[in-house]
Amino acid sequence: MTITKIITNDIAVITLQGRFDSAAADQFRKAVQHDFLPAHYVIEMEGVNYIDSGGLGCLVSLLRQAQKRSGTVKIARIPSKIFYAFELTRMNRIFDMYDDTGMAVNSFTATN
Amino acid sequence: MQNLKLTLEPTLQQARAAAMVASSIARAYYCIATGNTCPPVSRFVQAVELSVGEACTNSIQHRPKKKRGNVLLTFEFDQDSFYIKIRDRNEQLDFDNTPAPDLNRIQERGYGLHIIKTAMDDASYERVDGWNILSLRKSCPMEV
Repeated sequence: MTITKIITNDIAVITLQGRFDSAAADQFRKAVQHDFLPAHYVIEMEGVNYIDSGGLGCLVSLLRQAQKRSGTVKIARIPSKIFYAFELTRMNRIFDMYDDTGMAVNSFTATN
Repeated sequence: MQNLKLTLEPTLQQARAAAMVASSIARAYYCIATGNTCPPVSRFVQAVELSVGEACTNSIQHRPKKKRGNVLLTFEFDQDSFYIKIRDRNEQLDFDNTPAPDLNRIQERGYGLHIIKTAMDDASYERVDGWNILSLRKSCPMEV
């Protein structure tokens, strides 16, 4: 899985590409550990072609970390091919989802 | 009945490979069973790929440290259904009594069996001669 990060104004935009499965879970956990931990995260998932319970568990773990800093995690550009896993686990009710990454980022500034 | 067998070494990379192979076989079965080209996004294929991935990942993550046995997969199909068996020599699994996750609360783990039981049309477990055997069935896809 390819992971890129941009952190601006206490918001991290993390772009994922590839398979977000249990084999990629450690890579994701290491990638979101920073010296400076932002409060909010936007996970851009357009390039993700598979997610399993290991990948979903990573997102829940990140959400819990963010909530400890009064932050949250939002999902942007989720492809229909992986939405099924979110539905099966009802994660689509836990995470706010946006069609556009900019809208997801702006939603934080609108509420701050 | 046609069948295909696959042997996995107990690594998460191999579980990933098994899910990808399952996806390809399910896609081929879709074409054979329906006479139609499989759409790029197919719930049938997603269900098979996810279930095989979860089952193999569970098998690998829950194996005893001193046991390095392989995971065996069998794919079979007929006109009505696509069948998968996943075998390992791990400790016995309490398949029917493993609690379902509380979907109204957020939790990081414990979704694997729930995904398998929900995505497949049938999922059953038996213990035979020291082998755990997980049998999965998905009906022939009706989506076009």
